Amino acid sequence: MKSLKLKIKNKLGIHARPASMIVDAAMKHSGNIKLIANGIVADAKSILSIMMLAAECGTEIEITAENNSDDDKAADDIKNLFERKFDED
Amino acid sequence: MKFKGIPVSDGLAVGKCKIFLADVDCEIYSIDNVIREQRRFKTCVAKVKKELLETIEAIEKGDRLNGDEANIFKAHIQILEDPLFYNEIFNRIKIIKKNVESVINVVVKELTDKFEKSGNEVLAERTVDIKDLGYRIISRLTHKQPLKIKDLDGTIIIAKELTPTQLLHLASEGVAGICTEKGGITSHVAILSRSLDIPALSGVKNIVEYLGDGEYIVIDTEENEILFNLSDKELDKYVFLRRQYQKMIKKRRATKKLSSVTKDGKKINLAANLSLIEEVQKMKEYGVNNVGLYRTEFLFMDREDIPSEEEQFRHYKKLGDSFKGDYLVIRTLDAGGDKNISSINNIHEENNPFLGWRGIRICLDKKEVFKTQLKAILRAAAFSNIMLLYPMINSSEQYEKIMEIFDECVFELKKTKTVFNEEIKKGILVEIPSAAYYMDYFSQKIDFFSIGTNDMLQFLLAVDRTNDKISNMYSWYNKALFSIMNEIVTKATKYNKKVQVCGEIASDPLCLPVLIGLGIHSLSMVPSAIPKIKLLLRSFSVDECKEITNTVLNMDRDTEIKSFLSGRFKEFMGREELINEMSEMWEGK
Repeated sequence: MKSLKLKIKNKLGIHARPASMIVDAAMKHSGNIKLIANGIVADAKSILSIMMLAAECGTEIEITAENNSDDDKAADDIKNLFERKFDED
Repeated sequence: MKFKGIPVSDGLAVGKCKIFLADVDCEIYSIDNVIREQRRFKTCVAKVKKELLETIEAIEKGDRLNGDEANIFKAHIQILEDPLFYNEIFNRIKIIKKNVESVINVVVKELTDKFEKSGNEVLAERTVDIKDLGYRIISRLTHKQPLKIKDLDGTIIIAKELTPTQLLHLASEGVAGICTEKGGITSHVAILSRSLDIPALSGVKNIVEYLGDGEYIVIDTEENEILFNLSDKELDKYVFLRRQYQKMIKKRRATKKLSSVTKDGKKINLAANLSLIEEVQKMKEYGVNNVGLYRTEFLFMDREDIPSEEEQFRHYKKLGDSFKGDYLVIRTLDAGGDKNISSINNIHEENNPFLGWRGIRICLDKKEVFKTQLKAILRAAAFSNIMLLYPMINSSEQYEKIMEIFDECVFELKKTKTVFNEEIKKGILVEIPSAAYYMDYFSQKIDFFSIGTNDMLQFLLAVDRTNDKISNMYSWYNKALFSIMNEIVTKATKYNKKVQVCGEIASDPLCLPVLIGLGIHSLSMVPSAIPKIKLLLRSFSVDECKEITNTVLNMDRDTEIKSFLSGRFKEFMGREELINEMSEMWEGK
């Protein structure tokens, strides 16, 4: 189990395109990967549930990965997307 | 009759309209064999996925769309396989024992409701993707043509909203234009219709109820209008204009590299009047580097709250960053008159809104709104050459109040150690005749003047140009208007201050020599008018203009002035090689 927290840095927040990128990254790993923001838990492999977080710039978000042979890698991959601001700004 | 909209894809379309109702009708019936129904769904999803992959491949290979659009359909595949969508439908078939088509409709409705109720605008916009998938799967299941309507070649589609798939289908059927109620400049429909070169207008409220199938209509994105109930003569004109349109666009772009100087080498600044950040693109295409009037009202419209300082700051900064130019004139909020902003004013409660609570008057009464905007502009001005423009100024006292508030903003920004530009250039819109009598005062206080000829003429003549009975009196080939402009420029020049004109007169080729002759330094107008004005400008000298201006100032009758200017205009048109270049640009206008 791996868990890490970060803040959303890209201006537009997690809209469709970033959500799509997260799903792409999450699909590369087995196990449960979750995003938690605004008290809501989202499945990182579901674009709809990620979009429903309605997470905007500045929102704190937690990434957790479990039941996975490479939990660390899975969480880090997704964290990198946030750090890269989803290649937006 | 005409409705206004937001141009999302440029062009001119003439054709019969077809109302497109996007709801997917399907039968609802109970089923016994759950396994069989689930299998139907599963098989269909696999087909749809294949279809989507093919669409993506076609987009990436093709030359019609530029590749970015593929992302839209990639996201659709993810939604298709999303547990909240796929599993939900799959399991729901077993629970409610209804045919899969009806289950899809229910689940799509539930999901889109959730998105729409989130209050998050970006999210609400994406409901169109979910609807699109539902539409795609059901069409496949029922073996219906994706669109039931045929013979769309040359028609203009009217819809509340279109999904990307629908739009692609419509495009392949050869539709001539699109007009939707929902969807803005960043919507899928906008992006796709631009790539496909289909003229499109969005944000036209209630248009679906207003029009009937088969009516001849026109979409004109130059004027941001959809027109209907047209006479044969008017239709003919638009058919002609459409033919000219592509040629014209090419010609306009060809003027991009030409500089805006008179024949004898005097540089005149040509700038754009903008209301939306997205219009910068069009401005660039015509080689325009400056914004002479940025209207900020759109930021405040269609919402319940006042945009925060941060939001406004980001908007103005983004605008400033979006082009490389010499200046960007931002006009402070000019609500009132004919512009209602629900969080601020209601013109319907006023007897005489054009003489009422509008422009700077509202800002001085609603000090916090004004301060928020001023601070945002001051901050953005630290990053690009932004200038401030105050509308509807009628006296020195009013300006004193503005200065007080301005100083408060500066003080507060300094206190919080915020980055901003204290030296921002300031100007007033001279659009109320009385302002012309305070020129000595203003010239010592501000950096530039901008004459708003539309309101100025309305006030000078006491003519409401929206009143059909008297609108024929609204003519800017008018002695009073030219005389007061002459006074303004003469006074400003004494103090070495520049004068800009930003009314519609600035884009009238007939008046161009008069404005130059008066000593106007810059002209700001709709971007699409700039190429023709630039070409014309290059055909005459300042001395010729001065002579024309002197003649006009001594004429009394509007008709006399107009026919004199027409005569001179024809003469300029006949000059040198410009004749071929320009005639096409003016035909039909």
